[in-house]
Amino acid sequence: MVPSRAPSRAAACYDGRVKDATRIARSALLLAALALLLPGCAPKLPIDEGTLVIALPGSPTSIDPRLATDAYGEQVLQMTHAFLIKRDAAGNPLPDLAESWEERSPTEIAFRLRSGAHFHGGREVTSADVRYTFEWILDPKNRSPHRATVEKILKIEAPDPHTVVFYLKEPFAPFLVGMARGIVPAGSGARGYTPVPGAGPYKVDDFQPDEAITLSRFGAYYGRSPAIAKVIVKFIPDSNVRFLELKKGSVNFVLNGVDPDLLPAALKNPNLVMEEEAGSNVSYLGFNLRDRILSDARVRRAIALAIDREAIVRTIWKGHADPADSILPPGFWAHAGGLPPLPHDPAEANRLLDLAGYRDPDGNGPKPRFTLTYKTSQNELRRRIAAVLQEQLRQVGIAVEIQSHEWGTFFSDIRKGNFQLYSLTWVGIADPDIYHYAFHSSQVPPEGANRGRYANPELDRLVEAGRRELSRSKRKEIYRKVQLLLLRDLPVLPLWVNRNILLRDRRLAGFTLTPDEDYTSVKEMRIAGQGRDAAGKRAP
Amino acid sequence: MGEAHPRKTIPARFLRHRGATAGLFVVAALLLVALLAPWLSPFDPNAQDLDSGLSGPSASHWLGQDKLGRDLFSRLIHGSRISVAVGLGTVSISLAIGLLAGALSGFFGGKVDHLFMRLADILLAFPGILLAIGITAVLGPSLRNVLIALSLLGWVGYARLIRGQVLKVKELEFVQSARAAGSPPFRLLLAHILPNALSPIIVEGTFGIARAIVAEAGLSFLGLGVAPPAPSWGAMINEGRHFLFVAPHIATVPGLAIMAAVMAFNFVGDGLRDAMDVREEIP
Amino acid sequence: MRTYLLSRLAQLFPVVFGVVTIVFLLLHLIPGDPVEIMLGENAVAAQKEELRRELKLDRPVAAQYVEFLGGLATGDLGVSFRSREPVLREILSRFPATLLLAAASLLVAVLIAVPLGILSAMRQHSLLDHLSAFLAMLGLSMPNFWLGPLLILIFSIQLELFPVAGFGTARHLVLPALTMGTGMAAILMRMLRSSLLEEIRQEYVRVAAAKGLSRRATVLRHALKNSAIPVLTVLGLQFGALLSGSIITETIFSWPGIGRLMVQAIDARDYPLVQGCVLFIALCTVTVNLATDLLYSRLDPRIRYG
Repeated sequence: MVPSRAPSRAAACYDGRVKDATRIARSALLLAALALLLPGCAPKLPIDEGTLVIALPGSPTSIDPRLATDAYGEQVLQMTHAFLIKRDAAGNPLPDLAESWEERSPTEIAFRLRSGAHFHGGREVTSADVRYTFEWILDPKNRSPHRATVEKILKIEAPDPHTVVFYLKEPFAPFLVGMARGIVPAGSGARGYTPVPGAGPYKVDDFQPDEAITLSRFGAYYGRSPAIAKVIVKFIPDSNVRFLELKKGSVNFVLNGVDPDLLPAALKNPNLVMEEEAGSNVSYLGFNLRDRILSDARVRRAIALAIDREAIVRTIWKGHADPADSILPPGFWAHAGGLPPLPHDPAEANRLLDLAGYRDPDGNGPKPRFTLTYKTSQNELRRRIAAVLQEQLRQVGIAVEIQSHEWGTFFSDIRKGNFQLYSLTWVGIADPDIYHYAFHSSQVPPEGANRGRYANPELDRLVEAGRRELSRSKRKEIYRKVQLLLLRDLPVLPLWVNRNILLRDRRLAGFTLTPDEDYTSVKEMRIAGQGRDAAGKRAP
Repeated sequence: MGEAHPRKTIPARFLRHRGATAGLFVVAALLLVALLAPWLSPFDPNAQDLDSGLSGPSASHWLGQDKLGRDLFSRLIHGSRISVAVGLGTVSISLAIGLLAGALSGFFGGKVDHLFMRLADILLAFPGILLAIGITAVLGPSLRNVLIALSLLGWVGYARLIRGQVLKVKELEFVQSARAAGSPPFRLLLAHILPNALSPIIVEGTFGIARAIVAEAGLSFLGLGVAPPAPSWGAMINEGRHFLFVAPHIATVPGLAIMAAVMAFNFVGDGLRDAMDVREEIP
Repeated sequence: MRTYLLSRLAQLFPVVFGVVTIVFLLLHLIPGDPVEIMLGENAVAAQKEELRRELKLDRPVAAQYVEFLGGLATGDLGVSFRSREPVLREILSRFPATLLLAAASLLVAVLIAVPLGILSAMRQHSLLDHLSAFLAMLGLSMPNFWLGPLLILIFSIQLELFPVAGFGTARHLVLPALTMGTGMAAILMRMLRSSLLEEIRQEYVRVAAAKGLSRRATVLRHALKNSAIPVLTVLGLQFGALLSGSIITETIFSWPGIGRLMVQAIDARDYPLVQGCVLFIALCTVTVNLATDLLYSRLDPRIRYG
């Protein structure tokens, strides 16, 4: 029999303890909830700590100047490496490591290197390093994608530590373009993802592929030491994240990385300013000319006529781009005026496809004439454009299957010819010799960038002549013929030229927005309100 | 719960649950919408209207337009076809495989049983949609591959159910005596197993449809489901999350649809389970 | 106890074996030649041969299988196609982030489910009970690829309380943990509620009540303790679901864990890495399930496996 009252005091005691425990638990929970929800003291923004944080939409496939070929890699290199020469917005050469050069003959060019330039490890930059860099690129074993731009070099001599002489096999008009290359220390070898030292204003502290690269100011830079001590470049493929980090201030510099529909929302933020300039980045649609269907020029022309570039420029780019008729940007000296336009003409496209033998099996029904795969990166904007192109081509009876991969895989596919259709952007075209690089039959990757495997003897002859011809007016005429030929043949379809749009924190000053998205002027940047001090301390 | 009438009919017991009843309406509506999609949608789900991309709800576009100006309402309706197709398709295929496996397993016992049960254990070691992701990643995104991937994993529950039933019935006296007498056991099994197994199968199947819908949406979200421009609800959420800032309706509406469908099936499953008094948990 | 352990381990072997076999078969499911897919049809023959040798695809399937098993025994899961790093090293470097997220999600789940579960059980059929049941159903039905963006919309974009994505501070952890935790909370809550209800019906509760202990004390002290075990079991068994759910959640929040690694590997057609991730997650699940089982048998005084 259980006594009903005897243990009641013990029970009450126990009851009381349980009550306490419950109360404590409840308050603890409440506190925890509050702690999580309250903003509390906001973390310091990078700009307040003097750090520039740049967001790039993708991760570079390489940051070795001898191998880097995508825009992201080039942009990082513009901060970490000193180049033999640089280029200005018009494509004219500028001194960098080379303080002067002279053309002793059309096949002998000597460069005089500045003294006092050091690599990040401490060693002085000498002619031996320049020679090593270019010889490495020239060596076919290393499969450098830049080999094509320097292949006319016969030999390189370094008679003294500050002189480099290049001997060419034949006169080569675009020679200086190929000399705009980052210099690495002699004996560097192949490095994979490990950063190779440069002599630029910033040195690499840490590189996490797919995440970020951290740079810090290089004290022994030969030029004026940068005002900003630390630069972080974040690789953020997600456009939303990029935008939001910009808005919150954890990123304070985005060049061509905010989608046009987000621009109005971005500008509502009082901390951000926008700069916009004409760009020289030309987007194009690439065809694989070895493909059975696409080898027919009529099919390519039909596709070109089926695409409504105006609509895309108007609605997706929101007017921040212009339709292109050549891969040379308008305003470039070699850009030919009066090129025949490519209108939006689906009727004509249908006619051409019928002519080429690809009838539509059920008229306007769902069955297509044929199916093509279209490869794109994961960039949301590119995927949107892909969806529009898919629909526009569906209107003429071509079914398009969109395959999207992360940047490195996509780019690798393109270089290897593993595609039917794709779209990419040429960034930083500096010389019409790009036509050789992109269309000469010998320039299939990895030698060059003839990704579509275009082989046209007439074009080959023209671009070879263009390289040898040193007179600018004569070159202009040659390349006019090239552009006309390419518009007739359409190995690629020029799509549009984007304007460059920079969104940055208003306190960041000193950056020069160039048509080719060059990041060289990062070293000129400073944060308004923070004093310049080589040691990195705030000025009073 | 004491019942006034212990043999109240199953439908009546089901309808006592408000949640389950509501769920049933939603399920019926979903099936109807999926069936009548081409007639119900005001626009072609793939028709683009680039100039009005990312517009909000309006008189002609009730739920607004997505990034390419396509009518969200029409896409939502057509998306239901994909969800229903995957849901019903997966469960049907899984059921077929599972019934066969479970029956063979229970009936023959021994090595066959051992084999199937080990296989089930192995498949269950892959949590969630992990294996489905792996399979669709190598096979490529398409409706067919989604069905394959999901059915390959879904049959386990049904197999165990049937196996359990078969084992139970196998031991019954009259079955044994019938076997001894030489009459074909299959017919007996059919006669005795099916009625008992029907209820748990229906309940499990209902939950299975809900799981398949979420799984397909998850795969489409990752780009591994049906290929674009198919208006799979999961793919729509994935597209929409890039525009949360300027057009949140694109991501939120398909999500509501998925949730409504899944909740409806779950409620119906719960209701069926209580109504049919299914006590058995899947072993 | 030991015999139980041994018998469970013995049961484990065929499962592990089967898991490994299925993962091995994944690579061979690829329609077409994986080497050609990874390198492109026009790749130089020498490169194709090299990759074929590296992936061991130049041997007969049986030999490949044996080599695969052998590799596993030494921790060699192959080399990532993209980064050229060993697969296992890539996975292990990302695993801590996923573990952190999993732990935080479990915490969220417990914080939500335990109070709600207790209150629902104690106030059965009340408004709170029905509301909790509905919320649980909601939590179960809400896919994390929807909840995630929704939370981002409300808490990051409109209220600006938390960062949108990324990794680095405690605040980055909140939204992903909430996303993953709510589904688990729903399961947990239902489990706890039904477990408590069963306990409450038992003899000893009435005895304790007769003894004079308040109902709340009984529940908290006795019923809860006895329910702890099935609850812990559920948590352990849900760990696998957490790992699987992390694939989507980490993608949404750019959380640098295994889930995101796997998606990146898929986007890069890095088949060795995809294989490695699937295998790793599956084996983790199996291990945790075993551990949970053992813990369960150890803790529950009513069960003795001799």
